[in-house]
Amino acid sequence: MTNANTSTVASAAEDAALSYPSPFKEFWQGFSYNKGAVAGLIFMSIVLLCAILAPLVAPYSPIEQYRDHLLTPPAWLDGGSTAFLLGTDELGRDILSRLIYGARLSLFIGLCSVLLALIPGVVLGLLAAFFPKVLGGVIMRVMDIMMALPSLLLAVAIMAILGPGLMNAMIAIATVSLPAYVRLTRASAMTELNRDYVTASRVSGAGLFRLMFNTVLPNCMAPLIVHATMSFSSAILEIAALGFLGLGVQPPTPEWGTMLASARDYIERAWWVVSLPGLTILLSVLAINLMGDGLRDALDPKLKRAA
Amino acid sequence: MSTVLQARDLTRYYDVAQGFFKPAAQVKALNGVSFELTAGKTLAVVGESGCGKSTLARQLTLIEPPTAGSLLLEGQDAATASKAELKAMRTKVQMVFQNPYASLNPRQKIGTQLGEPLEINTSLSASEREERVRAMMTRVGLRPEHYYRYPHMFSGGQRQRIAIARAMMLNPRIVVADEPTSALDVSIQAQVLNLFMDLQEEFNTAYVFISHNLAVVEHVADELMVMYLGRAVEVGAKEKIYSRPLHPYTQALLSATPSIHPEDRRIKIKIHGELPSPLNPPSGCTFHKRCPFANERCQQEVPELRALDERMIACHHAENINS
Repeated sequence: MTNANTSTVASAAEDAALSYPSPFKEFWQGFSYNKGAVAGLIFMSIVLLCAILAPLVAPYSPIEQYRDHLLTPPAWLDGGSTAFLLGTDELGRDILSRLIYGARLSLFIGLCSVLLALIPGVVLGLLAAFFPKVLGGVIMRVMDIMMALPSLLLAVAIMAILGPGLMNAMIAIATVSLPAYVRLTRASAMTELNRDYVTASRVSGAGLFRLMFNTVLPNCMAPLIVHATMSFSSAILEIAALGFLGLGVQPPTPEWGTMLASARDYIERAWWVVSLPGLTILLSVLAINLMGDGLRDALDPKLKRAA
Repeated sequence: MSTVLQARDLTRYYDVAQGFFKPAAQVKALNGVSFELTAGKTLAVVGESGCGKSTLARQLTLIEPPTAGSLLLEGQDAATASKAELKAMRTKVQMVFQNPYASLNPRQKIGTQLGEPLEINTSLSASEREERVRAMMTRVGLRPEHYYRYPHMFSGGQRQRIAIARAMMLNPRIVVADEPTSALDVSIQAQVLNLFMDLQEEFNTAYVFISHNLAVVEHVADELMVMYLGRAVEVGAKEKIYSRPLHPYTQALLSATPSIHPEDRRIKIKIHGELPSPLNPPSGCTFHKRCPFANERCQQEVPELRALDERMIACHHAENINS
């Protein structure tokens, strides 16, 4: 009798272990349920691999100028040659190689400026929500002032203070996009703060840090993930704008935004010089947005199928 | 029969902004409430919406400090306690909320949520915590596989069981239940109430049971406190008050309880008008505007709680009305 009992308990425990996968596997199940997200992940993995292995993958050096082949069209067009698969730009540089090398810098810029804005933005937003009277008032008024200034102007002003350079450009762009994160976090944290589960956590003795990052923040993630993936693309374009003003990435260095900006004179004569970097940015942004969607769904327990 | 909680003249005012250039007004949500709570007993707090029941709950759980008055938890005053003492006191009072859909964190698994109070307040290892959580889950009637589930996978009744389990994790001296059954189906209400009573018997916990459902109160309460506009109007043993309510407000409240047995039905006493605004409570007895027995004395003089017929009552005319 006791034997039978223990065996049922053991098998019940086994069942539980079988039907409840590890957190990573659970995450992957939720993520892979969204086909678009998987497609985005595959595309981004390829781009990332190309970026890391650029010296091996790229057919030419990104800054070498082939003076005999100025503005060669891509291989599948009339006058194109298989030597330059995606054609060459106005200085005879291979566009494919520049795109591959450019991925390094562009992805790095996008990631860094999003993180540089996301982390302080979330912390400031949570502080503003938890201390709405004095600290919250001060934080939000400062953010209002930053929002009142035109973003590019503000970025240029910050660059003027910090001096030119890639790192400073990323800091400038992160600062400009900071208010949006602060506002988003504060708004969703304020609604969550009034919910009973936060009170319950307080009653059981949770401290400020636990309340902020463990109880409230996970429930505010959905709009933040969406906004972070969207601002990834605008960071790449804003760096290009700063580069155009001579403040960001300097000319010979390959970077998608700069390629797009410097080639706009040739849009009528050689569309590929503008379109190919533009298309690369578009596809990467699309892939990242799809991934963001999948990430949001995978992190939301409500959208998971009952296990 | 030890007293676990003493509230003396508990008062809570809230400032509300009236608009530009107007001074902030005060909402007198709780206006001097005193009572004692005995271990293993249930004090039911009844009253209509806006009478300060939930404000009382917030004071008792030490989420908010009272504006005036004192709260003694096992003889220790919450107002003078240091931060560390206050943290220890917090673990002695836990709460069960009205809406089981809002009281559980949607992003945390049940096991994690139930383990959180232990993680914060004890130095148990992860496996010991899991053991305690699983034991409590069995105790409140949840299955072991529920440990890994998220709150949205449960029905209202199951969620309320989880909320009760979370409140009981630290073995508190007092549990404040703010209308714990009003969001549930009637068929589930009885189960949840019985669970409450079983746990009380097992852990000797004192309950403050806030409700406006008088049938539920009759089922669970030992003591009863009737509140009106931030004040207690009648406090005493449940049997006494149910069998012979003395305050005109209690009489009206009890006469409003429907009953299927004709012999149990009371004569309906209607009270007219709305609950006055706590921003500007009436002078004297706060009930005088709606009370059929009010006279000039009621408009001027605030009735104090006084002993009468084995209970406490705040009415000038209690003897005349009920003679």
